[in-house]
Amino acid sequence: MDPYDASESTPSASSHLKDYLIGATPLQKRLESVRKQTSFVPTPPRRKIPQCSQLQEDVDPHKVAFFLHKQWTLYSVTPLYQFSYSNLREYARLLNAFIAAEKQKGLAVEVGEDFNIKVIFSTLLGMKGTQRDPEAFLVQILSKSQMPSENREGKVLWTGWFCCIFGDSLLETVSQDFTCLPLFLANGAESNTAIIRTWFQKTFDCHFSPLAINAFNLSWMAAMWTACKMDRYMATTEFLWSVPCSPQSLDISYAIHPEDAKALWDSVHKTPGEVTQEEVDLFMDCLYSHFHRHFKIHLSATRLVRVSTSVASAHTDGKIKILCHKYLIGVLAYLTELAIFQVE
Amino acid sequence: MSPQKRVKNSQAQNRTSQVSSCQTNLSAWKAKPSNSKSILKQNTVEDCEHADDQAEDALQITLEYFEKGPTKTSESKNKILEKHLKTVESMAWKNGLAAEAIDILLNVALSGKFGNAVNTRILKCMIPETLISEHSVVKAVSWLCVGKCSSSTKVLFYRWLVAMFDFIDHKEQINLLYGFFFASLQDDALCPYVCHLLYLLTKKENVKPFRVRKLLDLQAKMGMQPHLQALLSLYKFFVPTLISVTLPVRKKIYFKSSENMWNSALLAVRLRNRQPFPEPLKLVLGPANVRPLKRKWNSHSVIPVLNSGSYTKEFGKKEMSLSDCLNHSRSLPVEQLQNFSQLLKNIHCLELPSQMGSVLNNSLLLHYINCVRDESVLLRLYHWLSQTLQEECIWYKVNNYEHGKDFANFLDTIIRAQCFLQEGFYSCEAFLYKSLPLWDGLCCRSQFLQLVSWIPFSSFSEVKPLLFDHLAQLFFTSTIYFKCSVLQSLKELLQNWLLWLSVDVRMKHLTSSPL
Repeated sequence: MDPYDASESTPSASSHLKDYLIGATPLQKRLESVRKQTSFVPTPPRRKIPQCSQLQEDVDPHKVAFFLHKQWTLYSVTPLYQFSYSNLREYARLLNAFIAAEKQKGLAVEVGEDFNIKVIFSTLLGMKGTQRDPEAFLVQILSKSQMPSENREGKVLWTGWFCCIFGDSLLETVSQDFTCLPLFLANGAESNTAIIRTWFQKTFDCHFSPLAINAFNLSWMAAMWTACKMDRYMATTEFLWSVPCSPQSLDISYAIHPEDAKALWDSVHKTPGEVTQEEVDLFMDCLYSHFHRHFKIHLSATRLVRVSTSVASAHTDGKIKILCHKYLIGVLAYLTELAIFQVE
Repeated sequence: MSPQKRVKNSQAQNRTSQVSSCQTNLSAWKAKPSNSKSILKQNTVEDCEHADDQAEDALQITLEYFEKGPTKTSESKNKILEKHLKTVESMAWKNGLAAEAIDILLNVALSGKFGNAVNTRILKCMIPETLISEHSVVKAVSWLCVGKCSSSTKVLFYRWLVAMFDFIDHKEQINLLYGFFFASLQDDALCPYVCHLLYLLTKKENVKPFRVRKLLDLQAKMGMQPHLQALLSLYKFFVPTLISVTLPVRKKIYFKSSENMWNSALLAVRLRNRQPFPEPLKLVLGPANVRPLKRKWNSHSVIPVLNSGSYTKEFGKKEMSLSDCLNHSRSLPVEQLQNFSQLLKNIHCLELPSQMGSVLNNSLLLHYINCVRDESVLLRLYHWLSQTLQEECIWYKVNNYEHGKDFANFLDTIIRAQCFLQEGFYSCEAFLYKSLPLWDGLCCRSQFLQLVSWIPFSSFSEVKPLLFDHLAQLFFTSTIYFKCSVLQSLKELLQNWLLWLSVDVRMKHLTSSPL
């Protein structure tokens, strides 16, 4: 029970108090990190601006395009127990039968039978930050066409994928049996998402929780994405605030020309290649004061709900839409960081 | 008279098993000629018109009568038959019938010597004294193949078999007849009862793909029948890769209790055997730990259902290797764990649950994880518990005070588990540090403060900024009652720490299990 007490340490009890073992087990490392944290808000004073990562070059832009322009709902996932990449086919069969059984509650369904939906598991190569990150994998539910003459690939009903980008802090704290893929993105009907989540929870003893993005992180995202160098801007930079009042909540939308936003950022930005907390605060304050000058409304007293730039757009409920393939990894890295924070 | 007596005597000696009291009464047997007009040369009808005092005598006589079979029709045959039946019934309901008697009667009832009504009456009164021999059941089943008995008798036989299943001494030979029972599923009238019997009888080896397919065909033909559902879910439990079925969340009774006829008698038999009364686990395969409170926002309970993790073992196994075939040691699925001695016997081959959170409700499994050295078990529990606490906590993320009672119950379960293990969970400690700054001091107060008292041992300087500073803020601004509660929980915390320190350090080396 004692985290400091293990077979390698010295026997006396009093010397354990300050004894942090080097070869501590993952659970002990986890507890140490918990105790060291004095506050539980992720406030790294600085973050790197997302760059085009090396791995992007290998990834087929056509495949990457699959992830763009789609609204993904975010979840954080605890490490999967005894997940193996070699059994993906088997998982697909079992999940297929499970979904069919769930849709017809009570009726038993044989695994391997022909249903009118098809489940595919596939790995996504290249969707990782460092070499240590586990491979991302994708789950798709397709509807099978009834006519045998048509081609087998039916319409995609639901897509979900697990990934881990720069997840070193989590990878250190788990043992070999676990696969760490803390970020889960889903697109499709909520009922299907619930079924998939139940199956994963039962099979791999993991836990899904919806990943909400609070206003603090949204403003960081706004700053970081505005700082990204873009060749051309596809969308305006837009912010959405929500003011709770009766009878209906008031939504304030603030749209800026993306080049103006970039200009503002460049004037605020000091340290090259990095974004600091002060710069983010200054950036947002400029926007607030400008708005206040015109409309006499203090936006800082309201709740930032949505941020939308040419790189990506994020909603506080945990929804994201990525628009630019160059910075896909960068966006996912930030989201992975949030997911890891929630899992820990 | 004398030739009859000789016949009788030799017959009596030929009986394989003799009740000793009956042996002494051989001489007391009197064979009187019956009043019936026709007396067969070899089949003498034993007539016990004069009342025998010893009931066992009467029983022996009636058994002999039944074994002989019915005589040719005669007027008073019915009277005699009635008398014998009454003897058997009274004996059965009073004391139960010996295994040999049941043997004979089963043969009689299923061989079709007598009419349907007689068979029904016999079957209804076949209550064992203590045990039923496996051989008699096998013999009885063999009579079913002959087809001499009517279908209603067959139904009654199966119902009887299900009710008396616990009293059959060995079941290996009956298990070998699995295929025969399975084939009887074709018969619509027998189907529910045979399903129930198979449910009690099935072992992992009996689950074969062709049987699964057959059951699914039956389901397609007959629709969603609860007895088929039960058998399929049992098959799924043993081999989940063949079949997928979703069970309803609430407890569901799959089989109509066919013991109604024999209920009171069964109680008596159990008392005689001094057997522990079985829990109705056999009737229901499903969430045995369903939380009684209705949960509005979650349709399932927070603590997952205990399910053994046989999924992961089946993956990647294309063919059964020879070693698997020769390997006789089976792993014990975790649902079958009933008591502590069973845990001790099977501790090396226990199949872990697929969701580790389900151990919280099961004290036997808590024992198990207390002494297991496998990190992954503890990591799984850690992750599940920390995530669930975060999600369910009513003040941490969302102010959700309506579900305060459910969350308090959940915390109670955790505290009970910690008390049981006399150790605190790391995930609870982490949860405390995270949620204490946001706590208002009122919600789930007693549970929260109890969690404080179970924090694992650490140095004061570490714990101070995380715990005591926040607690101090609440302390100074609250009522005297709160102050006392906090002091009490801190006192308990010190007690736990002192207890931990006072335990032998060397022993801690060997048995330390970071929870």
